[in-house]
Amino acid sequence: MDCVRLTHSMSKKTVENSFFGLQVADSTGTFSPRVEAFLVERCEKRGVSLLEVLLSTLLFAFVIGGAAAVWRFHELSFQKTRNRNSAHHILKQELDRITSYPYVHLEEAERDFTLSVTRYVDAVAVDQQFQVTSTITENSQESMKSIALEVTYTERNETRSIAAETKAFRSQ
Amino acid sequence: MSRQGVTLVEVMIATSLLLVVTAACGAALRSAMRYHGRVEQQTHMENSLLNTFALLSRDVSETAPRSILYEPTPASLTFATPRDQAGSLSRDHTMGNTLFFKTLISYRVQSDLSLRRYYEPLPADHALAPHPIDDLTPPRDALYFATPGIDWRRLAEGVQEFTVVPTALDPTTGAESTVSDIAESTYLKVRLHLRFQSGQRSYGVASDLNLVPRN
Repeated sequence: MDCVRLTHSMSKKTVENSFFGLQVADSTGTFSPRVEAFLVERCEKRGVSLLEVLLSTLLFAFVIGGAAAVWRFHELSFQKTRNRNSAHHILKQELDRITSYPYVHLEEAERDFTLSVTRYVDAVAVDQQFQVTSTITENSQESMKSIALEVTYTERNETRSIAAETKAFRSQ
Repeated sequence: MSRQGVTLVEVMIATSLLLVVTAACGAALRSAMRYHGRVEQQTHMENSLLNTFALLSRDVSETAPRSILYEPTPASLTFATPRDQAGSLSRDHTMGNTLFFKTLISYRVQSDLSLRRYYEPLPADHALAPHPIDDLTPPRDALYFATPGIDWRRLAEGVQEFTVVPTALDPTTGAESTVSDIAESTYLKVRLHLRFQSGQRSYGVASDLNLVPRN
C-alpha cells in the first residue's frame, strides 16, 4: 500500500514524458498504467535481481578496466618520455662536445658510437641502445662547416630518431 | 505508517563504505606520489649518468694513454688534459698548433658512493701529457686529493661500479685484448653503474662506453 502511495506521489511530480523514446507518462506527468504497475511491483520486490547484479558487476569491471588502462598508458608514456629525454640529453652533450673543438679541428670530433644504457628495476635489467651519428661537412669556400647529429633508438619495435644541425664559421 | 529518513544501520553502512572508498583513494594517491618520486629519482639518476659520460668522453678523448692513472679501490681515474677551466683548448701557435697540457682532472668515487670530478690547474705547462704519479710532484694520489682546497663538483650519487678496462686492438687481426698497462691501450672500456633504494624497491642505471685517448 505504501508503495502504491509512493508511486502515486511520484507521478504527481513532473516527470519526463518519454524515457529513451518510450512513452512513460501522459502530458500531465501521470504515469501510464503499465509503468505504474511496473513501479509498484518493483517497489514491493525485496533484494536484487541477477540482471542487476550482472549490470553492476559489468559497470565495476569497466571502471577497474578503465583505471588499469589509464595506468598502463601512463607507464608507456613515461617510458617514451624517458627515452626521448635521454636521446635529447645525448644529442645536446654530443653537440656541446663537437662545438668545443676549434674550427680547423672539427673533423677530429666526428664519430659514430652506440651508447647502451641498462635500467634496473628490482634487479631486473632492461637494455636501451642509442646510436649516435655525427657528420661534419665543409662548404666549398672553406668558410663554414655543417655539423649534423642524429640519435636513433628502438622503442617497442619502432625506430625513432632525433636530429639536430648547426653551423660553425671560420670567422668565429 | 510509512517510514521517514534513514536508519542508524543504513547511516553506519554508508559511513563505512565512504571510509573504505576514502581510504582506497588515499592509498592510490600515496602510491601515485611515491611513483612520481621514483620517476623523478630515476630521471635524475639517468641524467647524472649521461652527464658524467659526456664529460668523461670529452676529457678522456683529449688526453694521452701515458697520462692516465686508474686505481680500482677506491675507484679513480686521473689524467692531464689540454683544456682550461673556461673550456678553451691550450695550443702553442708558434709550434704548429701543438697542444700543451695544463690541467689535471680526476674522477673519484667517495666513501659516500658519490662520484666527484676534481679539477686542478697545473703549476707548469707540459708539452707531453704528464703521468699523475711519475711526472708530478707531489704525486697526485688518493692522499693528495683528500686534502681540501682542490676544486671539485659532484657528478653522480649511488655509484655501485666505476671500472676502467684498458683494451688494446691488434692492428692486423682487429682482435681486442685487455692490457695491464694503460699506456699500451688503444681505448678504455668504462662502466658506470648507479643505484638508489626507494623503500623496498631498488632502481639502477648502468652504461658502458669505449673511450679513446687521442693525444
